Amino acid sequence: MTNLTPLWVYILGTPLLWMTVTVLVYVCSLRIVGVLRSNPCANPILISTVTLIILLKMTHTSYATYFQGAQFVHFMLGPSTLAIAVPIYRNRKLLTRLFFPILVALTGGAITGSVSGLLIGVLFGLPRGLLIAIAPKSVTGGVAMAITARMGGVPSITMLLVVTAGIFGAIVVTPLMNILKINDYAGRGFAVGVAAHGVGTARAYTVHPTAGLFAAVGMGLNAIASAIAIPIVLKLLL
Amino acid sequence: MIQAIGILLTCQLAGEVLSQALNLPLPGPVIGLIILILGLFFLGSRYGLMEETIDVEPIGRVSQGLLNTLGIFFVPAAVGTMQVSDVLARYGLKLFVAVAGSTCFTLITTAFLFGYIVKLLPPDKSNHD
Repeated sequence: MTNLTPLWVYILGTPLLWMTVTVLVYVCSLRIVGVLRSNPCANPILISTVTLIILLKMTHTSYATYFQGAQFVHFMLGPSTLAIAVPIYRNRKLLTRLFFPILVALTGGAITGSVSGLLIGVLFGLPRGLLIAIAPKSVTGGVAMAITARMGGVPSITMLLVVTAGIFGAIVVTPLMNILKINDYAGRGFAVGVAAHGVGTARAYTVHPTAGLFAAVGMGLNAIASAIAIPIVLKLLL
Repeated sequence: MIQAIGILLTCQLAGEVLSQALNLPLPGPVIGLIILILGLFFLGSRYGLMEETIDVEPIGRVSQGLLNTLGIFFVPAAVGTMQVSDVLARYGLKLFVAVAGSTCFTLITTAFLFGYIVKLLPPDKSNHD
């Protein structure tokens, strides 16, 4: 036992430990989601987050210690945001052909996404830091956090709200569109990409390839549109 | 492969530098994304990066790989909410209702506007693919 102590201290001090745990927990979450395929509430981001928080609490590990390892995973948010350029470029023809529907729906979606969240928040009397955190909740995680940080909100809460919006949007999109009799997969897909970013896009691909394609474009364009719109919306409303 | 990573990182760095130096309201990665999109649109074909074949090029494969595993990159920040558990305990339900309601409004508005404008376009164009 005494021989193992230096090794244990060494492992606890290296960023490799929590980076590895983050990756392993995520891989296990993907397995669980694979088994529970029928349940849209089973989301790997949510399962991993809850599992990791429980693990950190159980081992009395601070978030600062955890983040020394997890920062390498976190760093990839930046490059993965830029990766969105590829699906946009791949669908160049579609963008030119449907330029006006995409432009109008994107503008409307980006403004509704931030303004409606803000207004409900104001109605509930939420503090300013949380109102800022709600505004970018439909935008992909890396961009949403960056917007919140710039505007003086709480970035980690934004990330949780982004995940919530993604899961919720992916669950409600099909029943909601059926009730409203919106049957066009292009419009349905584009809407879920704008409202529920990557999580909604993944869901759209399982419903219909056209929906998935438009969702990917919607997510990518909304990262840009919301980054422009949200600082203006916040300046006007807060 | 390493070239593709170089392109992504260079665009991100350029975006970060521009964002800070010019004090732009847009975050660095978003400016990086815009630079990369403009680069692909205007220079892509010159370097053999056509939209039909971008998926098999290194930049396409690296990007698709990143997008396929996007979810895990959200996790470290989401775990950060353990530091503000008191805020979540107090406002969690209100935050959830705001996010859920706003997500529904956004879905409806976006899909409705898209469908409405598509109907205004000449029909032969939207069926042609």
